[in-house]
Amino acid sequence: MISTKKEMVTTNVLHQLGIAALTAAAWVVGVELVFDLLALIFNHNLQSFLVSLQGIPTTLANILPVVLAIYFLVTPYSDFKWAIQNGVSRWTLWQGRLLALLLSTILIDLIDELLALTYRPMGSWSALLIHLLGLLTTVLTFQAIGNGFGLLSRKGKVIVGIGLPIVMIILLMMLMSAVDGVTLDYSNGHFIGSMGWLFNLLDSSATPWILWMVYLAVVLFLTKFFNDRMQLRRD
Amino acid sequence: MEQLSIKHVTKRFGRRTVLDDISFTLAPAKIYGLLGSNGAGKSTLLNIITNRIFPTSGTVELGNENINNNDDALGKIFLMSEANLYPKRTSVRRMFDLANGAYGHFNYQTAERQLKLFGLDESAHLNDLSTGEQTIAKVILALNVAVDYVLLDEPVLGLDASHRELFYQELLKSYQAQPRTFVLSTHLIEEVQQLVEHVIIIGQHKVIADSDVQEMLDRAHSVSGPARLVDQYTAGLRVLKVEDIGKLRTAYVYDDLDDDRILPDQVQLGHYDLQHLFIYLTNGGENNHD
Amino acid sequence: MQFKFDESAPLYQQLAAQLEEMIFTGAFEEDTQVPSTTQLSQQLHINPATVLKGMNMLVDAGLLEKRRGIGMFVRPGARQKIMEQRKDNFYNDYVKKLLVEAAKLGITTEHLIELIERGEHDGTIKH
Repeated sequence: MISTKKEMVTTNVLHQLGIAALTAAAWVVGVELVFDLLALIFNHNLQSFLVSLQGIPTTLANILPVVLAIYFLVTPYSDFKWAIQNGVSRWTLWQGRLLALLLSTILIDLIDELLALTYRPMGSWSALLIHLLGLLTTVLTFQAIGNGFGLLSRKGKVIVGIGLPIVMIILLMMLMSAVDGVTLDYSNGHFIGSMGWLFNLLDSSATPWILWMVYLAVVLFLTKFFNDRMQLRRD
Repeated sequence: MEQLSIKHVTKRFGRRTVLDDISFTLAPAKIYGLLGSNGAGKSTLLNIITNRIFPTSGTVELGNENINNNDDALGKIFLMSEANLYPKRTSVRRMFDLANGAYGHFNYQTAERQLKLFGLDESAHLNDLSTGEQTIAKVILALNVAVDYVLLDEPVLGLDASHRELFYQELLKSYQAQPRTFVLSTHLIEEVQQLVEHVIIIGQHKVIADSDVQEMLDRAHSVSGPARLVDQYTAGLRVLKVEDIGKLRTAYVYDDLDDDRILPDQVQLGHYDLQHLFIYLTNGGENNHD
Repeated sequence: MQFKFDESAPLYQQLAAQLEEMIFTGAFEEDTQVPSTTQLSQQLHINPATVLKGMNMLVDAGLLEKRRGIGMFVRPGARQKIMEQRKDNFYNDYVKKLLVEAAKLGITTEHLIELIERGEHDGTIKH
């Protein structure tokens, strides 16, 4: 029964995401086609029209990851609602959605790479992997933010939606000025002392990977943390 | 089947207490009435029982297991609520399919018969239906989900008299075909009085009665006659309300009348119904007459 | 089949009393089936447990019997049984009260018999 519920969540998410992706793709490609056709009618330049058509795969390749990220940003609460109506626990909901997220990210990354083949050669394996991991991290981040927003009422969403980016920008600016200071001290040599390991770490080539792993763990934890606290709201 | 126990559940929204230390137990295969005036916290309580919202303190247990985040337990409880939790373009058929997927063994056959009976189309989208039709769709869903505990929050909201009649009939049919627990949360007490076996009354955010209906009615006595004699007779008994018409006094007692109490000739004993008992219990509070 | 319920007594007792009356008047004949708990419950919107309790009162009183796999039947001789029961009650419920009231009003036994005979010939009393 438990695995059935999880499958149900995954299938549902994939189904809805599929509809959303197709709708978005149809709109974007449609609008682009209309503009290209209009240009053809006014300029009578068939050559230019054919070139424009070649741009469609690029547009698609750009739009699909956006749809994916936005989907996971806006749907957590509505998924929670139908899931809890059907006796699906938060734990199962989280697993099911995560599974759907992984599957859809891999699928869209694959489609993206295939579409990209129309205008550039296939990248190296490591480039492909980094692209996939990058997309995954982005979508997971949006999922975490979406789950967090799922806890908030409409008013709360507005407040946090405006306030949080401002706080982030301020923090980022403070961090940057702090880093400036650290760099100065680093040249000094004396000051490092016990902090030396940190700078060795920053120098290491494994560092980006370690940072990425830590970031992923934090984001994953946040999706679960927010997910487990979701409740039916009155608005 | 296991019992569903609500243990010391308290819920506060900010500083406002909605439920204050609520405890009671629901037994398998019984029809319950959950009664309370508007805003008494019935819906909040049902939402807590189904893990839709968290209590401030207390637990809900099915058998010995906490229902919180528990797929097995949640898979045995279904709540039909006023709030519609489905995505916008959800058809009646899709609601059935979701329930079938999550709970298993959805009774499509009966559901289809009932849709015809109430004149509803399974391809209709929930959001396009009127309040009454939405209630019908949700009630049919609830009656055919394979669970041990079916909780119905205002199950006749927006239904006309004939559809209400049909609903009560279908509810009993369903109950007899597959005995399981139903909880009817409603303010239409008169209509469910004969239907429910046991009632739980919530008032002032607490459980003020949790009893077999017949046992409750057996203790509901009206005592009328000359004021002095009525007062004498009801001394020491729990009197919920006193009404005076001219010199005639009627006391509404909620207590057992012991046999050694002498009934004066001019005093008449009678009974009153659940609706009035509910009103007197929730509004009048309690005053011991002496 | 017409049932009417009020607050005078527990529901199951009222149900039993009214079913008994129907057996007595012949609405349900002896050796024939009476409506099942299910049917009564659905038709009257009464909890099945309550209906069952009422039916069981009549089974205990020897008026109804369960026939395995078929349903509930009026027992042969049920009507006679009700008749005897009511005759017993007649003395307590009517005769005793009649005598008490008569004594209060100073009506003698002879006068009482006279009154009963007058009632016999009164065209307004229907049997």
